[in-house]
Amino acid sequence: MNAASMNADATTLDTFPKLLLEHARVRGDRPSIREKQFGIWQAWTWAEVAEEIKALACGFAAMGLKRGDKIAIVGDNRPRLYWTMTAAQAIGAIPVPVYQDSVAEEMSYVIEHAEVRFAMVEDQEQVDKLIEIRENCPRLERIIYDDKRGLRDYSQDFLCSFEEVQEQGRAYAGAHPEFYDGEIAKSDGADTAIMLYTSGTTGRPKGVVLSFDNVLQTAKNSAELEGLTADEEVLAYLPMAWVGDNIFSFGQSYAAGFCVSCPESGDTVMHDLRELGPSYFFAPPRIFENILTSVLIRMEDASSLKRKMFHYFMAVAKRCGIAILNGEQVSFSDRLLYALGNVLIYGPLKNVLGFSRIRLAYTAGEAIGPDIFDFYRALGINLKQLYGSTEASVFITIQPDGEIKADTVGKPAPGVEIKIEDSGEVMFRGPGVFVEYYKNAEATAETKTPDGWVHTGDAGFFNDDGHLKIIDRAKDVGRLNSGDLFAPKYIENKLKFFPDIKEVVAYGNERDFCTALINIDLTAVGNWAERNNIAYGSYQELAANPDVSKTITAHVEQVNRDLSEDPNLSGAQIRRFLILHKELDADDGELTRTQKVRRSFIAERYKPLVDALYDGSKTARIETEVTFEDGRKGVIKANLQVIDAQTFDAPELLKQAS
Amino acid sequence: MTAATLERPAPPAQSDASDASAPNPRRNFSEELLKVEDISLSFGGVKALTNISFDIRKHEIRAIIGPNGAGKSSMLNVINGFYHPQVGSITYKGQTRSQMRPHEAAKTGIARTFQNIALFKGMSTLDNIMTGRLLKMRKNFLWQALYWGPALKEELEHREKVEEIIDFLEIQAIRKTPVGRLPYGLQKRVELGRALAMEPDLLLLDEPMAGMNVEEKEDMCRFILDVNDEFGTTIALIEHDMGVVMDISDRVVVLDYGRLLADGTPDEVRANQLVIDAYLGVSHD
Repeated sequence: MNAASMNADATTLDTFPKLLLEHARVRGDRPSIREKQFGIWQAWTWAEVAEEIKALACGFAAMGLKRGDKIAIVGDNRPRLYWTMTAAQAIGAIPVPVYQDSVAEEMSYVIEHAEVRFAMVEDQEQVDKLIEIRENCPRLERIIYDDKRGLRDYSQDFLCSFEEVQEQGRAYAGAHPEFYDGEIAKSDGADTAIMLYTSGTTGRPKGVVLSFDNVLQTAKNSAELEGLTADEEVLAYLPMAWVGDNIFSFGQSYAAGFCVSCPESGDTVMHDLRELGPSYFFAPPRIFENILTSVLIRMEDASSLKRKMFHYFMAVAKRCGIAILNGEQVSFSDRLLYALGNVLIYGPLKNVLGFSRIRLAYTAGEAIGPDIFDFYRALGINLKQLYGSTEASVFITIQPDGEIKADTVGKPAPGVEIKIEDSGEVMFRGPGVFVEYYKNAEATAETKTPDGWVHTGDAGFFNDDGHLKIIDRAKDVGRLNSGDLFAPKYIENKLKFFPDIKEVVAYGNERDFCTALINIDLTAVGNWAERNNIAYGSYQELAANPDVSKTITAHVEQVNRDLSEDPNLSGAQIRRFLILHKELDADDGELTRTQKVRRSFIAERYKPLVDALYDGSKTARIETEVTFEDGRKGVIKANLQVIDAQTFDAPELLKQAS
Repeated sequence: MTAATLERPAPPAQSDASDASAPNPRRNFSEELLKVEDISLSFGGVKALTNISFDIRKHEIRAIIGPNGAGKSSMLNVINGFYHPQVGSITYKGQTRSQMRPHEAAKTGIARTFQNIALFKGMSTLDNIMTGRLLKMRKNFLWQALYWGPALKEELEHREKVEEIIDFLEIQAIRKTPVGRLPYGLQKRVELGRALAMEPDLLLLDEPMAGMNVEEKEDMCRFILDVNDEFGTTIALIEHDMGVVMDISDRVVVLDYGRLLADGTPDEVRANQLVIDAYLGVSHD
C-alpha cells in the first residue's frame, strides 16, 4: 500500500473489519495468518480470512449475538480465536479475551462482570472450566469450541462447534446478503473495539475499554515510527488477553498488513521461533532472560574449543558490538574481529535462537538486566525497551533507534505527552488513552482526569537526554524509619539480574532496615549443583543447601556494594534475607498472571518469615498452603535460615575507591 | 477399523459432561471382539494361568487387575501370542485358534505397550512412532531406499498419520528429540503413540501408568479415554492404581494366583467379597 492511499484510507478505514475488507481487496493472495499443524505451517490469505470471518460473524448474528454484546475468547493463540475478534467487531459485538490459564474462579469474575453472552474457547479444558462456572454466570448463553477433541459425549445444547457457527453463518449470509457489509459500515472509530481485563497487582481485575481509534491509532503510529511493512514476520505467542498481544499480533498486523504466525503449542514456541525467523519480536524480560540462561547453560556443556570461541567472541561483541549497532565509531581491527565473530559465533547463535532475520525486538513490562540487554544488542539484535500500559493501548515511551540505554525506557511515543507530578508520578495523554473502566466510574475517575491525563502509578523522572527513567511503583516507593528512600522494585531488579535468583520480594517501608525474601532459579542453580556434584531431591532441598546460601549471600552483598555508591539509596541496603522454600506462583496468588510479585499479599502469607527477618531470630518456621496444578491443595512446611548480609558505608567505600 | 462397526449405542436421553470420566452405565457393548476360553498356561511346574475364560467386547475399556504374580502380564502375552497356552482357545474377530502368533496378532490389529518401556532409545519420537507404521507399508525396502514416486507418496501418507498421533498425544515439542533423553512419563506416551500408529482394533496396555506422578497419570487417563472415544479402539489394560481402574474401565477381570476371581463392572468387582478379601485386603474388625 503506498503512502498516498494509506492517508486517504485513514479516515474511512477506522475499524478492523473495514481494514480486513481492504486487505482482502489489496493483498488478497498474501498470507494473513499462519498456524503450525501436524508439523507443517498452514497459511490463510487475507481473502480466505475475510471469508472465514464473514461466515463466523454471520453465524454469531444468526445465533443471536447483537451489537454491544460481549463475547469472551479463551485459549492459546489460534487463528480462529483471532478471527473471532474481528468477526465480533464486524457485527458490533465486543470481544473480551480472558487469560486462558486463569482458574475457574478468576474467569467467573471476568465473565460475569463483562456480562458475557457468548464464549469462544479453544478446547475441552476451557469448555469444562466454563461449564463449571456457568451457574454463577447466568448471562452466559453459548459456548463455542474450536477443537472438538474429547467433546464427543458432551450433548449440552448450549455447546456448539466453530464449524457449526460458520455453517449457520453461510446460510444466514445467503438469506441476508446485505447484512454483513451493512453491519461493518455501522461501526466507526469511536466505538468500542475490545475490552481487556488487567490482571492488577491489587484487587479485582478491571475491564479496560478501548475504542477502535485507541488501538488502531496507536498501532498505526508505532508501525510508522518503526517502519513496519507488510513483509514483517511475527510470532503470536503471548496471551491474547494481554494488551501487548492485541497490538503486536492483531492491531499492527491489520495496520501494516503483515502476517502473524501461531505456534504449534505452548511448548514448541522456541522451535517455531527458530523455523519462522521473525523480523519483529516482542518478549517480556523474563523470556530474554530464559533464552540467555539456556544459552549459557548449554555453552557450559559444549566442547572446550567451542566454549573458548564463544567466550572470546562474546567479549569482542561486548566491547564493540553495541557501538556498531548504534552506528558509532569503531576501530577497523574491532570491526574485522566482529565480522569474524559474526561468521563463527553470532550468526549461528542467532540462527539457533530464531533471531537471524530480526530487525526489531521490544521488551517491556519490567526492567531488563543490563547484562541481558547488552548481550542481545552486542549480538546485533536491535532490542529496545518500551514503557506502556493497557490504559495507553501499550505505547507510552519507546527508545528511538540509536538512543538505547539499558536503564531508561526512552522518549514519548508518537502523539503521547508525558508529565511528572510533584509526587514523582508519571502521567500521560495521547491517542491510545482508554475510554473507561467498564462499569467502574469510580476507578475511571481516579485514574483518568477530565482533560485526558492518565495516572500511571509509576514513579520516574526524565534524565538529561529527555529519556524517561522509571524507578518503581509510585505507591511502593517508601521510606525507611531513618528517612532513607526505599524503592523495592529497584533493589529487587538489581538482585534478579543474577541468573541464580529468580524472584525477590524486598521489605523496608517504615521499618528500621531493608530485608528480602529470595527465590532461587531452579534451572541455573540446578545446573550449577549438577556440575558440582551436589545432590538434591527437591526445590526445597536445593534452596536450603548451605553452598547455595553462600552464593546468594555474595550476590546480596554485591548489590549492597552497588547501592552504597548511590547516596540516595545507600540506606536501603539489605541487612537480612531468607531463601524461600517454594517458588512464588500465580496459582497461589503470589504472582499476578503476568508474573509480577504481589508484595502485600506475600507479606501477609509469609508473615512469620517477615517477622523473623526483623526480630533478630536465626531461623523461621513456616507452613504454607499450596495449590497444585490440578486444583488440589496441600501444605508445605519448612524451617528456614535467616541470613545476615554485610552492608557497606558509602563514605568508606569512596575512600577505598580513591 | 471400519466406521460402520464402531457405532456407539444410542445416545442417552440425558447426559452430563462431568460424568465423562466416571464409569458410564449407558456404555453397554454387545459385540464380542476377543474371547479366551479355558486358557491354562504353565512354565514347567509353575502354573501361570489356570482355566481362564473371559471376553473383550468391541469398543470397551477392559481392565485386568490382580496382585503381583497373578498372571496379568502372562494373560496379555497369551492374547498377543508371546506365550502359547497349553490348553484353551482364543477367538479373535470370529476366528478360533488354540494359540495366537505375534505376527498374526500384529497383522490383525492387536497392538501393545510394555511394562518396561521398549522404545528405540537413540531414535527420535517421530521415528519411533513411524516404526509403528511398518506393517502398513506396502513398498519394500528397496523402493523405500529410493524414496521416489510411489514410495515417497506412501511415506508422506504415513507421516501424516504419525503427525496426527503426535498432535493427539500433544508431544509436538519432542517430535525430533531422541526418546532416550525424555523423562519416563513422556516415553510412556511415545510408546502409546507407536502402538496407536498401527491403528489397532485392540490395544493392550501393560501398566500404562506405572511410575508416573499424579499429573502424568491424569494425562494418561485422558489419552486412554480419548483414544477409546475418538478412534473407537478397544482397550485392555493392566493397572495397579485402583482409582484409575475404577474410573476409566467399563469392565474388570480380577486374577489371583492364575485363577479368575471375578469378572464384572467396577462396581460389581468392588462389591465382590472374594476380591475384597484376596486383593483389596481383609478388614480386621
